[in-house]
Amino acid sequence: MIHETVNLLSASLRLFTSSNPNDFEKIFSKDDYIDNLKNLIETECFSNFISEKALTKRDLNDIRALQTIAVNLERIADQSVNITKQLGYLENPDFINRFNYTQMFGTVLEGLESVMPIYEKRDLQGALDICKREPLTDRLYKQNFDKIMEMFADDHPNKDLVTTLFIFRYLERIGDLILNIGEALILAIVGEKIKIHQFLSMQSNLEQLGFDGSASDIDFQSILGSRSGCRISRLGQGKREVSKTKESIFKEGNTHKIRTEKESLETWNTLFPGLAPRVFSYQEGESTTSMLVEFIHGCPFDEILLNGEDESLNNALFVLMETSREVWLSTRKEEPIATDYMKQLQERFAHIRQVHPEFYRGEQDIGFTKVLDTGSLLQRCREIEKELPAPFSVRIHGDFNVNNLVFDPEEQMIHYIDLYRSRQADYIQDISVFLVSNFRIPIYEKILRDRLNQIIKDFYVNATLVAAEWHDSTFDARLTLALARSFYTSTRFEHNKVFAEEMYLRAHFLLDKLLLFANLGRPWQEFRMNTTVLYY
Amino acid sequence: MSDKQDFIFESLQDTQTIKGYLESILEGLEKGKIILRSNGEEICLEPANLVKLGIKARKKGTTRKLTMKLSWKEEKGVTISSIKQLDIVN
Repeated sequence: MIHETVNLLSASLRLFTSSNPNDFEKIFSKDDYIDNLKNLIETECFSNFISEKALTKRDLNDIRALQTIAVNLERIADQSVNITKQLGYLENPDFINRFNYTQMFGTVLEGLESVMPIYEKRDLQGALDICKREPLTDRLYKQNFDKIMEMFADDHPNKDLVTTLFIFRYLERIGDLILNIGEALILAIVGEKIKIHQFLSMQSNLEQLGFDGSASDIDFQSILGSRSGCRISRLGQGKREVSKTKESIFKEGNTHKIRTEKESLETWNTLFPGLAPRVFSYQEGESTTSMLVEFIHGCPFDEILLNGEDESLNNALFVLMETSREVWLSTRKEEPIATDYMKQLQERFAHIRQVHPEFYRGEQDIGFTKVLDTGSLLQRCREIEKELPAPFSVRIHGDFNVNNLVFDPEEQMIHYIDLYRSRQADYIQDISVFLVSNFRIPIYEKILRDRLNQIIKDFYVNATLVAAEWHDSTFDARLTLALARSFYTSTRFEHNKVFAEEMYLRAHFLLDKLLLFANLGRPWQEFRMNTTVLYY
Repeated sequence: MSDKQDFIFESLQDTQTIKGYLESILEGLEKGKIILRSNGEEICLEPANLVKLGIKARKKGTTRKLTMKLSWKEEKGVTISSIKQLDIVN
């Protein structure tokens, strides 16, 4: 298919200098043939999924890459046909020769011809070179575009200028398609779907660290998803031996977010060396920013939760409780601090309704019993929240989710990761996020569910002990608000309606109770939360 | 045009609050008029002298279910039937 696409593109190029009607015919029939080849390859790719042969991760990446390459080759053929058609519209066929198109054709043709050798040799540098052909075609397009614009301004506009502009536009699009092919090759070679601009910023981060090897010396391994919006990969030993400390995670994303996380990591490292990853390098770009942070060895807490032995889980939980307690204790500031649980919930409301439009309670009357609609309920509770500032503040993780905690059994240490929301705030924010992050794990098998419930219970009891020790008399009321927020906002990640509804109903139950109590006018110290909502 | 009207209320409650809801319905039964409103739309039920009462209970795995069903026919020129179903699931 590559060979046929190269032939088709070359035939288009030949038409720029010699108009042979046979070439037109050949191009159109070749395009049909290439369409068929793409369909054949796609069928072949997808048939792997119904065969009984077990596929390895590498097989899957190869299939994905090959299918992507085939799709893009077919589009390149289409664009070549478009170019050919445009040539037919030129009133003066020689007009196009006033422009530099050979270099653009050369760039994409050389790129195409190198695809197969690069794939076969798993040549990462070669794949990167293919990707770099895209900005090159963009630059060449811009030069021709500027020339066309100048000629328009020269007061003798020519219809052929419009046709010429189209031709260069199609060539520029071919450059984009070449980039897709290059990125597909990177996927096949490194096993990671990574954009070229991410790759380049990762390389420059490594250079900052004095890494002088080539791209193929880097080993990539995806360790986390990208729910937080940052692409995360692990750079590891690769072909050469690199000490443990060199292993790092590449993070790239919105400048504000990455900068906040960097500052937060630095603060954590000053306060509790080793608790959070260290920042190895940091590079601020125009729209995105990237950094390399220490790769934390150990086991993600959620993995221990689901797969670990009871003993390891209890051990990890014990260390977690001790660590969080120590963090709270040593960062505690006595001044009261306002909380914003209802505001956080209201801000995420549109997103929740997007996923679950029906998760909104209308105003209802059942006989003389009045039921408040969700909007009013949240607003009333937001008012109540103003009466309930936290009596002191601590440095919180900010997203104290089970998958943002890593346990190192050798060192008997818990590490905090993904700290871009970390700040001085109410410790209940972390408590509620942790409790609900256990609750919302979509596992219904009794043994594992009992396990989750036990973790929730232990952590909750530990938190109440801290609250009692510190005479936090509005703990229950604030926890109610925070839990309602966590339950409700978690529904947007849960597509199992029945399970999501459980969380939606719990959020309403908690807030209804809080409001009912507020209407009694009793002191908040007397409010007790119904803890059964914590368990599923 | 259909004469069908539905009212649905689903929530999670503790037993104390459920008692409050049941009392609201009980009061309606005594007065002969149960009014249910949802977003401004009203369903008014007027239980007849004779009301069919069904009580069902079920245990399955860890789920418990108690269903109480009251049904009757209201006759005011045209026959309209209404069903009120209360599901209490633990």
